[in-house]
Amino acid sequence: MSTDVLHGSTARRRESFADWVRTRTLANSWPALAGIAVVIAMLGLQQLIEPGTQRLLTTVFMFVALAQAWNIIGGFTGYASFGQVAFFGLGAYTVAVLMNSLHTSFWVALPIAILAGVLFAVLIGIPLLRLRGHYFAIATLGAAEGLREVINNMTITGGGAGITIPTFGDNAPTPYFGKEGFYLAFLILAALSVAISAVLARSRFGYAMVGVHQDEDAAGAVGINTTFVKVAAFAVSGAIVGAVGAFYAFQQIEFYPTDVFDASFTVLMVIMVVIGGSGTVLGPLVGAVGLELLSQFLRIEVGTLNQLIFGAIIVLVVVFFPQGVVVYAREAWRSRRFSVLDNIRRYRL
Amino acid sequence: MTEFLQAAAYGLVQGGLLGLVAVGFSLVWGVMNVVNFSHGALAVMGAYIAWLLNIHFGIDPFVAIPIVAVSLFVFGYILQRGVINLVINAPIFLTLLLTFGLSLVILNTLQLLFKADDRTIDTTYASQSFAIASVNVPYGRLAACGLAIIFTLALAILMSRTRLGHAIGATGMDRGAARLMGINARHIYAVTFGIAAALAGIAGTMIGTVGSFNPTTTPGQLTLDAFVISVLGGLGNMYGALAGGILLGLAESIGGLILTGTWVNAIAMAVLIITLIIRPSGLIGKALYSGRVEV
Amino acid sequence: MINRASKLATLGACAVCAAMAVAACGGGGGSSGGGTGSTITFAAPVSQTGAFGQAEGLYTLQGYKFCVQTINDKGGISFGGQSHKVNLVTQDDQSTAATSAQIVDQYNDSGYKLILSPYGSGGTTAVAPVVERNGQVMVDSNGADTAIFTHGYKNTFGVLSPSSTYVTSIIDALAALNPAPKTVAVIAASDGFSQHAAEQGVKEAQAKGISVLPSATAYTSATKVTANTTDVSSALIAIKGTQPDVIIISAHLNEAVAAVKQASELGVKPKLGFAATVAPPTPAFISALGNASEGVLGSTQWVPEISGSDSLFGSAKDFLTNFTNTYGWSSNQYPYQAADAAAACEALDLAITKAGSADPSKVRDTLAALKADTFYGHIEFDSTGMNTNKPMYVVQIQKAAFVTIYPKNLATKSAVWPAIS
Repeated sequence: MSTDVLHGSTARRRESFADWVRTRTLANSWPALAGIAVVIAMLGLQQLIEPGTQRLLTTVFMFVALAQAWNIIGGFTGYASFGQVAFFGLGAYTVAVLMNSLHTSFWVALPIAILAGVLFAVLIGIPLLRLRGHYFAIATLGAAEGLREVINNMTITGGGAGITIPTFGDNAPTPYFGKEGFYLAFLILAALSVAISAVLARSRFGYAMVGVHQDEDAAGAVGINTTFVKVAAFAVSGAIVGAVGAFYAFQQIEFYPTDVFDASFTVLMVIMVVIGGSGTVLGPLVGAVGLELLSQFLRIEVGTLNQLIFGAIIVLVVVFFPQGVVVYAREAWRSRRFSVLDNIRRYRL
Repeated sequence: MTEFLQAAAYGLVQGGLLGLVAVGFSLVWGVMNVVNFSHGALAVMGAYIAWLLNIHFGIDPFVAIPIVAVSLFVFGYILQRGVINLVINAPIFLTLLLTFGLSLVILNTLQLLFKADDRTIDTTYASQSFAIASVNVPYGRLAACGLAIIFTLALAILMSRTRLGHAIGATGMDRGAARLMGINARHIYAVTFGIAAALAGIAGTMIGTVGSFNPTTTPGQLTLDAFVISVLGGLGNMYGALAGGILLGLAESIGGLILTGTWVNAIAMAVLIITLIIRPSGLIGKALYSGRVEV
Repeated sequence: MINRASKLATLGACAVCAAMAVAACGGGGGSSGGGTGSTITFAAPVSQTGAFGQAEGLYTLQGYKFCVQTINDKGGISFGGQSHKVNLVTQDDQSTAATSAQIVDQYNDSGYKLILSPYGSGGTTAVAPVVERNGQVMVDSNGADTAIFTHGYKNTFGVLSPSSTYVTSIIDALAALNPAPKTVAVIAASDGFSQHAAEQGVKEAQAKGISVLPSATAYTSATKVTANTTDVSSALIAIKGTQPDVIIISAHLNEAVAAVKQASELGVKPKLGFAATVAPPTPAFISALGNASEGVLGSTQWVPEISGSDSLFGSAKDFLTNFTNTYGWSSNQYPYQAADAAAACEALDLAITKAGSADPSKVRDTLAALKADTFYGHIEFDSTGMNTNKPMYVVQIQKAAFVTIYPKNLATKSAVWPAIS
């Protein structure tokens, strides 16, 4: 990783898009091609799968996007936000209020929701990103809780009584997408978030984020504008979460502040990223897909015990794969050492 | 004016109780750098033990406190030594996740055993109050507040006057050096967590006596309160936790009087954020372990 | 670069495999929905974990199970010369509205068109538009918020009285008591259900000449409390100086328990007594408050004294006896939510029998025209889908038992009034 940082900060010449296209070969385009293949496979799968699982997969895609977004600020940049759900709720309410009160089309409301996410990120990011570690975590948690209460007490949002997006009959500003529509929408969101994360990871900006994570003072010393990097990473993350919240609102139609500001969304994002492998592109994807499928499977098949078992599995995964499943697999593959006991030896007291 | 005094009096005793909720959480965070998500779950576990003792054997919750404290100490000790110590050197968010998972396991077990219904530990006196010039002070919360002060002082004395306390403090400041001095860090961490769990259990018992508790909404609220208070008071700072609790109690009760509806919650969060920005070491003094050396 | 490539390739494989696995394990759902075969499926999201798990969610589930079991014990639903057994399909929604909605969508894909609601207004509100869009039919057992019925949905029918009647019934009961209160204070939680209920209640109080303290709009400001909070002290302090005759709490269990306890702590003593909406008629209220619950009034959807009866459950008394025996409840402390649930399930049964089909659109039409007298009282839906004719009842807790005190003709004992000595 450290060589990457060095490379990033010394690479003077910025690649233009044309250069990038020209230098593409089959060998170095594999990741992108594989990604496209997966998206096409998931589209094809939509026709094949048991219909009852379509909405379930939609939820999985949603969490892929959310986990990728959290990873940008929490994983790459190392600022663990415990208030990302604020952007989710903000996006959801921006869309709902615009469509409900002003009869705006969803496609007009969506960019406004994303913009709201960016603005909120900048607004709270500038003061809060000066805080480190737990202090940043608790401050963002406070921001999310506070924003929920503000919305709870406003009239235009319907307050605690909830809000409804008009979707029936002539009253609907944008026709409802339906199940297929939302499957597609969330698949695209998931794919975009993975793509954004992959592109960022190998860009100068990405190296700057990792630099901030590893040693913020040193990163500043080598000329990285750390404040800009942090706020920009927070804003990108907030924009993605805001967009996801916007689609979620439209999918749900009716919801209450407690639904879209539910702190368990944030907790799930963190768990998915950390269990998958924080600071990697693949980790959040694996974590989100794995955990959400597991959670849904337990919920459907196990009944009353499902959350207990889910909790126990989190404990076991944290103990046995503390560095995240993806990082473990990669290191194990390289070193040909597969013993999870080494893992435990590393972090135990 | 009477309203204001009433709110202040209530906020004061309520705040003491909140301080008791936070003191163990702050201790663990300060000494071990672990944000213990299962703190609220441990508190509720203590409440259930006191409740069981009360309904089956008619034991008064204040008499049950030693039993609750010992049970929770043993449980906390085993939990730290057997599970949390396995990842104690991992990045902070792993311990946070681990305790979150543990909390899910504990709470769902409690829910299966005792259902999700609200419970209270019934006494004849806890909800009664005495009045001074039409300002009512409830006996239960006053006693809980007194206990908070006693346990905070006891913990402070333990930390400053005893070998065990010095060992905990030393391990918290520099574990490597502490181990070189012959301190068994594994044991010390487990004892620290045990003490915090016992304090959580006592706080839970008090909450069950003066209010009500359930395994679904109470634990999260308590953990969040402990989180906020620890930050306000400064990490690992015993008196800070108490002062932070009283501050939060007063802010909620007086704020609730001045502000309409549920705005008070939004204001509380704004105060928290502003505190963090202006004085990240907490409102009260400086964090005990600000000079920590990470190993 | 090779590394990254292999990484992404693995990811592709993983994602596809995972999806296949889900597809495979989701495939077993089998039984015929909608009524093409001899078994009819009723499907319901239920809360087994989360805030309602092992509490209200469990009571609702017990009501559904009891109803389906009773139907099947009597041979099933008869039409077209055949009897059809009923199969109840449930899934845990973790007390989350979005999951309820997801489950009902999945049910639709599996061909389950006849839906029974999840517990509570939040879940039912999220499910109603899904049902509407999919052409499913839902009978709502425990979602009382009037907002569910104001969007013009055609496929949702609520057997229970709507939120607007929860506090008005208390006011009516209070006005009929001796001495009748001259003043009341209303504490209301911030959620939609509680606010709607309080709003109508305040109007009813003013119509009956009862003045509301500290002001008629206080429930939206000074005496409004966070939903599900366990601290209502600020609302009580706002009330303290005004000394109302009765304090009414329009909220759920947590707030009501806190209000009664904290009122005593703060020396806030209503002259006559306390009343609350959904909390008092639940066994948990009595277990949470102990002696302090004595004398508290509560509005409820169902009491065993009502006169209606039907061929499925018999009289209301029969329902109580059989249900409490089956699930081990005391007949003094029964969860009324189970009666709501059983009534919702029975409404589906009646509509299918009458329609002579389990086809959702036919069932919908017969539900819309349904007029039935049952153990739960009269069931008849207005154009919005609400069962507006059904009255609410008021009980008082006396010696740890629910005692019906209003309406007068159903009262088994007279109210202990003033409840506070």
